[in-house]
Amino acid sequence: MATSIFGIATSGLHAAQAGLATTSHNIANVHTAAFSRQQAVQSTPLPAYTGSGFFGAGVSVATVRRVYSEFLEVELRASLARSAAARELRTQLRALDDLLADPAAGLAPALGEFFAAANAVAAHPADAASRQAMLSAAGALAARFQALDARFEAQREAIGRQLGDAVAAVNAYASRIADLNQRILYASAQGGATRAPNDLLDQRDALLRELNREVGARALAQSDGTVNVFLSGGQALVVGTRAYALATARDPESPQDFVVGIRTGDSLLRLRADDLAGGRIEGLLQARDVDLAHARNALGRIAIALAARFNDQHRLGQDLEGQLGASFFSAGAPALTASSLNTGSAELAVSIADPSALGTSPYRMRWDGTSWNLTRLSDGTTRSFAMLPQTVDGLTISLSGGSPQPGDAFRIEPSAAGAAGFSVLVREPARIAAAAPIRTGSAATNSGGARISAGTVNGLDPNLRETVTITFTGPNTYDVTGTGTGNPTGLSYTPGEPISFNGWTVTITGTPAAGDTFTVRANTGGVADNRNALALAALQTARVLEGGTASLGEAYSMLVGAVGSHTREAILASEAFERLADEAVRAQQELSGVNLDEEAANLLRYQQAYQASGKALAVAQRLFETLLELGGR
Amino acid sequence: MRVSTPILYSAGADRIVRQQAEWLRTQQQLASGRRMLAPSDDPVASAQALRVGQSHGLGAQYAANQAAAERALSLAESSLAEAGDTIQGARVLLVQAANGTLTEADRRAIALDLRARFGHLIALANARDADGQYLFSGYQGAREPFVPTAAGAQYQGDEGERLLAVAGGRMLAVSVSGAEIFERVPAGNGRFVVVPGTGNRGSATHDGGTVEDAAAWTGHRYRVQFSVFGGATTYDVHDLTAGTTVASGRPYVPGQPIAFDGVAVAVNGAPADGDLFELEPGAVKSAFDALHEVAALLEAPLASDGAARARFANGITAAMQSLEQAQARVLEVRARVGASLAELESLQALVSAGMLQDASELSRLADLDYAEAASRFAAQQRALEAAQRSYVRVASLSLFDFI
Repeated sequence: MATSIFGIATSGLHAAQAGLATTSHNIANVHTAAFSRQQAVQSTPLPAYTGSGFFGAGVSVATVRRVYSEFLEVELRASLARSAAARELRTQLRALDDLLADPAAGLAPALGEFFAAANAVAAHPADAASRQAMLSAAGALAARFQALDARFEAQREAIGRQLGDAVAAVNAYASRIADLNQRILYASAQGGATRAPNDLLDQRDALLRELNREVGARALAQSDGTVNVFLSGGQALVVGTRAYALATARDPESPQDFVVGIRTGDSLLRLRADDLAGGRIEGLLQARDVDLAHARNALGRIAIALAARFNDQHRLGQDLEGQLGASFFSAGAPALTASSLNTGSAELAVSIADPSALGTSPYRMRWDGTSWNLTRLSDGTTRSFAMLPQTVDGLTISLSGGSPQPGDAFRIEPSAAGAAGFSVLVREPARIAAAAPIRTGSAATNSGGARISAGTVNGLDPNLRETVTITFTGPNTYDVTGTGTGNPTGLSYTPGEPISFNGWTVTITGTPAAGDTFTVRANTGGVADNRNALALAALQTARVLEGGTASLGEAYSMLVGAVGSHTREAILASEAFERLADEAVRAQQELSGVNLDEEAANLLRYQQAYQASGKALAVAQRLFETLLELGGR
Repeated sequence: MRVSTPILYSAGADRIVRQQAEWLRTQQQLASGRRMLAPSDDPVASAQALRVGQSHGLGAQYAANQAAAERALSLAESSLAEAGDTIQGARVLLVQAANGTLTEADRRAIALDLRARFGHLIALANARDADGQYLFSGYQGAREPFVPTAAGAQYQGDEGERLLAVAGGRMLAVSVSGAEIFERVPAGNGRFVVVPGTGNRGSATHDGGTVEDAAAWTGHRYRVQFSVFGGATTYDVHDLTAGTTVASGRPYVPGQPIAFDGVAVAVNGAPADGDLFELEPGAVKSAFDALHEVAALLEAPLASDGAARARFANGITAAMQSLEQAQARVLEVRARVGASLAELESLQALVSAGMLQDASELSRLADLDYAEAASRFAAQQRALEAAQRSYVRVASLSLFDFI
């Protein structure tokens, strides 16, 4: 009997020691990532049979198990992926938002100051200082366009670098998960089904959590203890003990951008944004390809519309030296990139036909062997054409040479370069075309009551500034003489009806007398004429964008509003997902987390068990001594 | 419910960090005075604020244009006022000159005075603005509008009107063409001018004529021709435009108006046989040319015969008429400029009211409510302090302290 007491007491000591060790392990790892608290599972060994029945044989430690729920861990991982994506998007959009936040640093004040300067020229058309101020304001406007675009570009490049970092992290995690799979495979073989390598499993869970912060990944447990890891698009990242690497590469259709792909052998399989849902990578791709691209295109579109409309009007004017106006601004041309994978020789050309019809989306043009398919990437609308040139959304696309092969693709960015390429072409103050190139007059001897309007210039005609005389042959008929008019006679007169020749239009009102003459001639010496400056200044409020519904300033406020509301959405989404992730952590910790007070109680518990078993051992010792004393007598 | 120790710490710490972030935000709002630190704080208000800001800037632009328009119009106004006075002075001189008892020297003195006024009027018509641009030369601001010639003065500018955008959709003309003010002045009584025949030998003078019945007035050219036969003076009236004879052989009574087709011309003195007056409608006479002509008339020695005296008297009558028309034209243009100035005043009120509205809207959209923000700041500070205190208490509690 005494030996069994010894044995039982010793097993109790062992069990208590195991309990103490497990508790200390828990205490030591209280702040270890993904650590699940462990418990030593005690059970009774086979009882010994005696004539009196079964006597218990003490205690044995069956296994050390971790308190863990697969379900909670999967939830936690998914919520981490979502919140990391939302947080990254928020971070990126905040940067964009802050860029447009300062009312003094945005486009609006520069635009306002430029048009104020144009108005000053209209008020003082011959004043050199006003003209110089307008050129300076134009330079400041160009600098603002370029600076804003440069900030967009810097952010795009930064996102490209962060994408590289994220991919490197994903690869590191994937290979360490594959390593751990290997070790778990051996350990599981060693321990059998009931003795899991808890700490290794926790380490792998920690890595899976980190991986999900970078990119959404599902882990499928295998019967041998390993897990296989897949991206949300189903591409395998880890299979058993083997890891596959992601890589970044230049987009064949848009070489300034990096795309993420997965290496299979020597080739890189390009992954779409949908394949890379979750984690930082989703947030980065979304910020770059949706919001940043939109902001840049919208800004470029404003630059293009301003340059086009301002130039059109400026060319209809006359400068201080009597010359017709030249182009005032230049804006970046639409970008067209042929895919590096193209096999045909086709070269496309793209130009802007109508800035007011421009959108902010890029396009993909693809030749399928029989027709050209133009896809607007923002909404996926596709239009097919049997032949080029075609004009779509204000863009004219034409085939400038060569012939395509089926599958050849081109990417068209109508306004991405608009703001970066925005510059002022007029350098001398005198070259600002504030005047109109024609003026009208009436003969001093006119006896009728008719008056001629100041006239407007609607197009550039080689004979624009030729002297044209309108002579009334009666109250209702007139002749026109002058180069370019064809000298028509006997035209019938209706008061207020426009009369157009040589690119100008005038109206005559009132009742003319026979013999009355009116002239339209070059505005020689018209330095105080501000008609064209007024027309230029009026472009500030002209609705030149969005199909003629938005002015330049309104288009900019729409951009700020869009970035602001997307950022707001991203902030709210990020807060919501973070709360969900907190919940998931709390739920997981509720089950698996270490509570030091609980462990302190366990320490006391096992300590007492140890002391009690020690007492039992002492009793057994005394029993044995009693026997020895008996024998010694 | 189990609470794990890491959660105990992190939950408390997270709360403190979150409250700190909110506290800092309020502090930034207070420091900047802006309700929205970034467009995302209120995207709709941000976009609206930009639009209202643009509208406010436009208002400021209109206000600046209005000031420029006011300067230009005031300058034109004062030039025109002085031009009117100058012409009025010349008219007074002409009344003196009409006095038949003047000596040659008197007439020369008046002519000298008229020449001086001519020069002054030219100077006024060639006035420049602050930018050095001529006020009354149309589009050709650098070109002197009037240059003296042998016959008076020649207008070199054009008929262009300088405009300024003084309110949304309102372009105001801020210049008047010199041709309109000084050059294209209707001659005579405004409808027609009475031109004595160059070969008149009698002493007949006319009063310039008037249109008595505008409805009957045809606007045709007429000729009144006198016949003296056997001591009786009669006249015929021919419509030169229509080629008809309106009246024939009417007896002439000096001082009695000769009336036909709605007009009346009073003729005095004794016309010689064949003397004539022609009625020219629609003729124009430059104020400068009229002044020049009458000065030349006064400078020339006056013969004592009836025909010469009649020519002198008719010349003075024509000049008086022209200057009256010129003064009326100056007044008319002044009235138009005055109306523009009055319109400007009301537009100024309108635009500044709009700007005030924009400014208050902008302030409502973007500015911080300091009272609210300050109390929020205090409340957040209290909450943060409470969170910190409770965190310390929770974190310091451990069973290990007792074993």
